[in-house]
Amino acid sequence: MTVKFFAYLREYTKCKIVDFPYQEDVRKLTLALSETYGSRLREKLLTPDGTELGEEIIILVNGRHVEHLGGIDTKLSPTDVVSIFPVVAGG
Amino acid sequence: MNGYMGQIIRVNLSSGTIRKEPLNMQSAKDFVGARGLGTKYFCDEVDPKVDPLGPDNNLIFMTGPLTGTAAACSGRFEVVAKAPLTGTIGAANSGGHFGPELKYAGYDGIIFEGVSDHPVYLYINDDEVELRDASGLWGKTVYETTDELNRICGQSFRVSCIGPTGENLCLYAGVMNDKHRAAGRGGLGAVMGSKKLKAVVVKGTKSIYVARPEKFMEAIENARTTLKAHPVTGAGLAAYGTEILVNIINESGGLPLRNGRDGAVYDKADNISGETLTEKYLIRNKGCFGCCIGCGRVVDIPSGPFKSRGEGPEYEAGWSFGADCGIDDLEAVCKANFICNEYGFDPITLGATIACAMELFEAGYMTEEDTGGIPVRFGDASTMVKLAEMTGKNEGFGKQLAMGSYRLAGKYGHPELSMSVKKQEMPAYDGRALQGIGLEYATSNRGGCHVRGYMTSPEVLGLPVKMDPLVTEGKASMLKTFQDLTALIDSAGVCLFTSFALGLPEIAAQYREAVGSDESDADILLKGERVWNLEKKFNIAAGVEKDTLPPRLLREQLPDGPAQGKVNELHTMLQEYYQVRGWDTEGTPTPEKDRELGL
Repeated sequence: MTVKFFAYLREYTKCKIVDFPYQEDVRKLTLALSETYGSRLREKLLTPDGTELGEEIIILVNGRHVEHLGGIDTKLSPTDVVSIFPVVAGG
Repeated sequence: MNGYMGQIIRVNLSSGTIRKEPLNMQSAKDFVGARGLGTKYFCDEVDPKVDPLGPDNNLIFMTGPLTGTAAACSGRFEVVAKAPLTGTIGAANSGGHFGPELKYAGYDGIIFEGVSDHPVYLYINDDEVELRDASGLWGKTVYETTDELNRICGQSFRVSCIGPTGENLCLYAGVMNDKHRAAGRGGLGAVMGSKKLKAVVVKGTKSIYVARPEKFMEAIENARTTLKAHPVTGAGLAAYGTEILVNIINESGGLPLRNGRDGAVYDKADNISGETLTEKYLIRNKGCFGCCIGCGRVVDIPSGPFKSRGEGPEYEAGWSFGADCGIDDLEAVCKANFICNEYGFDPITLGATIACAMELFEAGYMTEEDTGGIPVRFGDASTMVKLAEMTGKNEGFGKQLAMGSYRLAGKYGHPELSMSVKKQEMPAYDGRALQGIGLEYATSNRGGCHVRGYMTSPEVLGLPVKMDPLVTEGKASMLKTFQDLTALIDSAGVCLFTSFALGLPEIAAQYREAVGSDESDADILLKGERVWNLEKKFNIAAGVEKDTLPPRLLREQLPDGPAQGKVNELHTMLQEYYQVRGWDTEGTPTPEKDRELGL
């Protein structure tokens, strides 16, 4: 599956986009990404106990915010594109 | 009331008379300041049917009670007139340092009436106020004018001025201040140009007094602490500027591509993103007066055909010269944005008008005969920059682009290809992918605009709550709250960006302690609603067209992305919106609502 990183998350992952081994839901994906890219990314992706998504993260699956899908339990397919942003704003 | 200086300047440019008069304190109480108070003065004194470029259209500069105080991000002021681009009330907000300086000179605002028979500028040095000849400045760019006035008057003076586009009555010329800040939309710079008013320079040494200093400082400290701790206002905007939005809006399927003709997903978006701008061209960030956010960009293009240095671009300009024109050359985008600052006009409308011309040309509705031999095609960065420069200089085909997309597309028989609402171009969010932003565009009191109730915030960014961008439920109610709160913030004289972190309680607290009010948060928000309804009533009296969207957003389904197949479902949201506002089914405020608001 394809995972894209944006803004300062790229400093943590040292890449913009990665072809990542398939994970069946967002919870497993965020844990696997944390394992691969380390604690700084994990601190943003997940709450300290690892049970919920962090408050300062926006995760889109095929362009849809996981909040409007199944949250941390959103099911994933191998062809999904997951885009991960820190909370950003502008205008 | 404290927070105000209690005095305004009235300048009749026809007779050359200058009068100082007390601020109307009842109006200040009811309409707060800046956008609201300027609009109140305007509506009391000007016929809604006035010709925007005629002598009877007043031009008002107005600050708010928090402008220039220790409140966070308090550099804001408003320029108000009937807007030549739209025929609506024109209220454009700007930052920088000009607004605070005007208060330090002892004035809450300036009202310009009439037309001068020769170019002039207004000189304000505390109590000394005079009109001076500006013949030698006429024709000069914003940068040249500012430098020359600083040379003549002194480096410590703050300058607001128009560039050549304002002089040439480009319908989207802005009023520029501190070189790079703009009261940008609607063409208020053309109003200034029509009056032969080149600039206002101001220096002041007075103090602003607030009603309850200790509580005021407490409220400010609370607000500043919250702003600094928030990931957006405390870190993200300083690091990447507003251009950071390019990727998230694109990934959400809402970045209009090639005049919206090709949907709203751009496969080269990252090339024009905040990340790329920061990595390749950013020199440093920059803030306005009293700013603790620092979203401004100082940018250098070191070499190549677009070698230049300037400020910006903001996200909207990054899109208008970028994705909207099918261009991923960030150096060209920056150059076009700098041209807008230098010549003093609105990059959103310019980029969107060039994009409209590109679609007209590619569809065969416009030919090289019409464009002076220039093929105007999507993706051609050099041509885009050339057209920006030609418009700034009022040369050749640029004269047609200076009309804006609505009049341009109309001239070539295809008004439906203008991506505008009430003749003003919509900015960088596709109303098919973001249903609420579509409702916002349709109902905005100054035409297509994103800063009249920024629904992108809940629909994409999740601030302050997460709303699904593809659904219509709940959007009307949220939009009303955002519109009223925005009107309050603009009227108070603080930056709208503070609202990414601050809510009504924090904003109301600063206002309350500054002016010495004991009104509730709800009472203070009601002032924002009063401003909104006053603007709406002006527009109705002016005969402004009904609230709607371009046919493309209502009928052409998005071809791809997460919003594939969607159009904007305005019809399901608009009546609910009118109901929430207490208006009738035609969108007119009812007598009951007028009574409630004291209008």
